[in-house]
Amino acid sequence: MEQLLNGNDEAVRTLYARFGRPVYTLGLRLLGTREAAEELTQDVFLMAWRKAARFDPARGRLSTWLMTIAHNLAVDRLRRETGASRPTLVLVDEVPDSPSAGEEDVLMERDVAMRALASLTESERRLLARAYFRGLTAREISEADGLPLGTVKTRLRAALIKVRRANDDKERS
Amino acid sequence: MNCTVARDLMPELALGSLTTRDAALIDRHLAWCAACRKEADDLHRAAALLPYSLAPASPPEELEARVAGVIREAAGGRRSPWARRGRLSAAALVAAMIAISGLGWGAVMAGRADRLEERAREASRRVQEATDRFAQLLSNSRSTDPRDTVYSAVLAGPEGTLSNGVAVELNSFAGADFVIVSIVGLPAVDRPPFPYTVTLEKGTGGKALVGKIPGLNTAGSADVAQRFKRDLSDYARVVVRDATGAEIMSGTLALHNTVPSPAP
Repeated sequence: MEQLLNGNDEAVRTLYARFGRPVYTLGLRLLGTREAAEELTQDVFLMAWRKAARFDPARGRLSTWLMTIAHNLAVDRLRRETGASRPTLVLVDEVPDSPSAGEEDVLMERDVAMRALASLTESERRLLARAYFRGLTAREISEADGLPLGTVKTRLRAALIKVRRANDDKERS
Repeated sequence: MNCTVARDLMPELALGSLTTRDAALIDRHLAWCAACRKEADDLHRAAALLPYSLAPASPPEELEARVAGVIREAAGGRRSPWARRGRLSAAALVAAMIAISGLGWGAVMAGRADRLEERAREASRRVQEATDRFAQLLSNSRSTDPRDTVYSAVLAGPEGTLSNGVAVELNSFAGADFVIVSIVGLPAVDRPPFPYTVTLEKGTGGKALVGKIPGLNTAGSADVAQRFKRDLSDYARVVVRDATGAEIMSGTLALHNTVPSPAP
């Protein structure tokens, strides 16, 4: 992070090699076009550089920090753009055809994510996807599904806790 | 905000679906409440796994260089040649505006050449002169990379109209690309409604906004310029539209030495 702060080229490229693809993937799925995903990726790494001094490893992993930045920027952009349609998205379980060198970490993260999500029921997966990938608020979900707001919030919390526990179990094993 | 309210909002905070106002309120609470901060961090960690469940998409290969370039540019004021390059590119942009606008071709188009064919010929000559001068400025400048390329286009309106324009694009090998568009020859009466929108467009339908033109200057012309952090290679068409979205003029960017003539 020290090197990233200094704009060290190698540090930036190392960070990109590790996280460029997931950030771009998230941008593409949330924003819907390659151009927007590319712009988002640039913005995410620029913001990471600007905020590198604020990254606190005691509070979480670098991947969590970066993906949170990426998601927040993408959602902000979706909200700003009037008339932007929310992407229709479901969680998918495809694997890339031929992972290139340096992408093992991404595949490991993906493996962890898939296992953690496997601990959820289908309705829990869909609930998280609607909130995270489509940016729906708990209120919007409750209105759409005719459920009390409190119930939706409780289910979102429960689903996230299940993911976290499954991930913790995986890390411990 | 107390812990009960904070915990109620935490799942949405982690999932990024809270309003900016609520997110700011809960952030303030987390700044002093260690217990809630730990729970929020745990939920964030869970949410940050979700994007990894997506089938990975492949970013273009050149994106890595662009990301590194953007950070070099932002970081380098003190030690990176990149920031120097960024400033000089801006200087080159100003030079381009002078090269194009300073030729006074607006005045030429506004009256000195009466016949349509003469105006078209004069416009073409002026465009060639402007792009020659622009290319010369770039080649004399240490700010540019020999791999940079200059594209230009003559913009023509529908048949029978005098509306005309020129676009020049610097396609930078490693730095920011930029574009300048100058328009002229629009009728004094029944002029298409302002503001005009100038866009770069590609065959697949993608658009990049160069800028908006709120009105013309006293010579009857207007310029708009934009610096882009993204690669413009795929954007070949320059289109100017009026406030209703109707096309006023357009043209196709070509390598500088093959500037097409305007439509008669």
